[in-house]
Amino acid sequence: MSMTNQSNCTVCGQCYESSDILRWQCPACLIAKAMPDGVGATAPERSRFTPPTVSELAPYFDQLDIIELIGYGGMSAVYKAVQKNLNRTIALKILPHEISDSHGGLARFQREAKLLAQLNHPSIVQVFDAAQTGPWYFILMEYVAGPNLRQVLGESELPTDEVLRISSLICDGLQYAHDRNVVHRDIKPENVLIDTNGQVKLVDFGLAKSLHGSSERLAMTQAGQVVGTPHYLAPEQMLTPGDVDHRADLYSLGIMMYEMLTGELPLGNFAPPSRRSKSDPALDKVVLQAMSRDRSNRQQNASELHALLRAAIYRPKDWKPKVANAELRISQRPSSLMKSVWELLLSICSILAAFVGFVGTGNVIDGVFRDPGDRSQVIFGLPLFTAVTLVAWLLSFVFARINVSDVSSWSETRWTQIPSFIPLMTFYALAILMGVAGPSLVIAIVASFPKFVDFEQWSFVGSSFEDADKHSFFTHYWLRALNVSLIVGIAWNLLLTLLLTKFPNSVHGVFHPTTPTTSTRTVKRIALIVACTCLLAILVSFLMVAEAN
Amino acid sequence: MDEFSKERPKQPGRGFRTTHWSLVTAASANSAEALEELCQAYWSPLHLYAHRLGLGAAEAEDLTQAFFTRMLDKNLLAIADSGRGRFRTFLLTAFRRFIVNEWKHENTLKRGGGTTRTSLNLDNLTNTFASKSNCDLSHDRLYEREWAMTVLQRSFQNLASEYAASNQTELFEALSPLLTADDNGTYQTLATRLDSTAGALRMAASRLRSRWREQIRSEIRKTVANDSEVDDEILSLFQALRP
Repeated sequence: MSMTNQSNCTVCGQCYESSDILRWQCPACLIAKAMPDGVGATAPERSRFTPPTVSELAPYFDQLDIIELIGYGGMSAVYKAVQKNLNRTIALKILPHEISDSHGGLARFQREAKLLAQLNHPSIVQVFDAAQTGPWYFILMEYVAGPNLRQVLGESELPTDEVLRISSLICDGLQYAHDRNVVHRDIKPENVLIDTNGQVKLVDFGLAKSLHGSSERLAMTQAGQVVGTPHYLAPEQMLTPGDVDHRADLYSLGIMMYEMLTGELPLGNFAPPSRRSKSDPALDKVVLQAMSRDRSNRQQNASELHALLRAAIYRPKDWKPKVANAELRISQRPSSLMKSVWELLLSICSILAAFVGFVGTGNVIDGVFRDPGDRSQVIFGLPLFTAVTLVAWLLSFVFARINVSDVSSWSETRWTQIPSFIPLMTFYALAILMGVAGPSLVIAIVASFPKFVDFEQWSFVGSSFEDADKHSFFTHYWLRALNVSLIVGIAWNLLLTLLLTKFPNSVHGVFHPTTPTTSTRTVKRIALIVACTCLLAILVSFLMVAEAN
Repeated sequence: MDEFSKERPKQPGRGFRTTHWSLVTAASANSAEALEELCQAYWSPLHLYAHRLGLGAAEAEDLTQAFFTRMLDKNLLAIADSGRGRFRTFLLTAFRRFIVNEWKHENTLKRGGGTTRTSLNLDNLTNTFASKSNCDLSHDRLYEREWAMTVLQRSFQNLASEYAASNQTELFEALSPLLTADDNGTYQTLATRLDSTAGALRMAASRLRSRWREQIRSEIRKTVANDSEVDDEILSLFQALRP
């Protein structure tokens, strides 16, 4: 065990206990060296706020009976109090001068308070009064007897219905506030109160922005008390704090819904809520959409979120909100000129690739049926040539396939897409042909690879190809090879039949080019990868040709 | 140029993936060893905790030992849901549960079942267990503080062996007491002693500091579920160390 000893740190001035292992250094200062940037152990303590006691506060508020401190954070404290003249229980929130001063001062505070006073909604804590007295700014507001959502979450798991109810009420409150251009900016379970009737009340409305514009930074430097919970902040609140709108609140609500459903925060590579809990999978999409990093992908307002939440639960299976979807489709559609250029380009590419494939195939066949000695005359290796040919065909097919992927009926086809049907049809013709002739071609190609024995030396069911007369047509060795390929061909066609009947979707794309099953985006992604690989392969092969010459 | 500014200490951990607690618990032979090592390293905070509950030093040691034996034998760590929390809190919760069970077990067996001896210690424990939010937190705080000290000491030793591996023990011994302080005068004195220049030593010291930062972070990374929690854990350990 290490020895320990007590002394005073010369850096942070605190009394500390250390050990010989640490060379008697202050442990707090040591660990502070590893803190995230901007947070330091040696940061002065001046900004730490200690809430005043009830008796300290009483002289400043004649009209109130201050009962007790019910909570405090890094820069404010909330007391329970009774308004003497009305005998009404209220909550008194105080903020020390220096904090609000450093971020805009009284005018801003009052402007914000006025705005808040106009908010009168069952889901929002009502503000009665806001002013300045002694060293404090204060806000009088509705007192909510009940826990906050954080406490509720800590106690028990919420049933999905309850999550929906709470979320819907929050949505109502948010929509009401957003309609009046008030953005909360700090939605988190601590700011959602639930009163004894189960009514949800949002607190701290707008204050997050008005009083501490850079609330995150402030929270972090006051490591003592409010180590910020950045999990609920929308990405844009961290990246571009100047450009934040109401959709930031929707993000925070999304995170909160995730937490309510699963009991966990969506950290790292998180699973949809229904996989982490027993919640309804129908909610996944709505919650995940609200949590989109890009705000334009979220629901665009709180009532839309509310509607989708309800719809997700109370809807027939295939029901979709029509309006929202139509808007989405329009916004995703690229301009028509761009589209035409893109389609034309694809058409040309696919025809070019098909041309290469055509020429290549001819040469491969030519190469295969030459005599072995002759074969070496083919300028570059036959296998490579074969590969390039196959790749060209594939490329041609992929290009053409992408080009027609959004055509759902022939009448919709645009002229820029039509050329794509040439390679496509060729390909289908070839595909059908391959059903019969494919295996023989494959065998011939394989046999012609230099690593394998010469084609003529193959033997099958006791009959060698070697004794065949090379110059007579009917006994030519390739006729014997045809026997082999017929047998393989039968197997091949059986396989195809099996594929077609058992897994119709697997070949759907080949036989129904105009009705896409996979999403266009997926097809495009795959195509991009394939195309890149192919281009690389072609480049390499041409380099090799240059080398050979 | 002199030797200190040229040579960098080797970084033994570089090539390996850092082990998260969550990865460790995915039961495989290697990770079980890593976990055992981790448990042994964080033995003393639990021991102190047991001791604080009123057990004698030897008794606390036995209990802690029994706890770890049980944990590792029954592979309880593998079934723990590491996604949910930190190794630190998990160990403490499991340990508390273990003590309560152990106590009940002992009392019911020895005293022929049925009768439970009311013990001051058990009272203490169940109190903290039942309402950890508003009861006296000093047990937990002590545990956290000891945990933070363990993290620091382990990181310090790792750093020392990192420097030893590249034959720079002398440099480490000279500079490591200066991790928290930064004083020009000291570098001058050290420079004459080590036959180097103040500038080179200052460079070496800043390198030492950044290695220190890395060591702490990688040590903490072993005890949290994912990287995003490292900063948070550092902050809470920092707070635990504050008087």
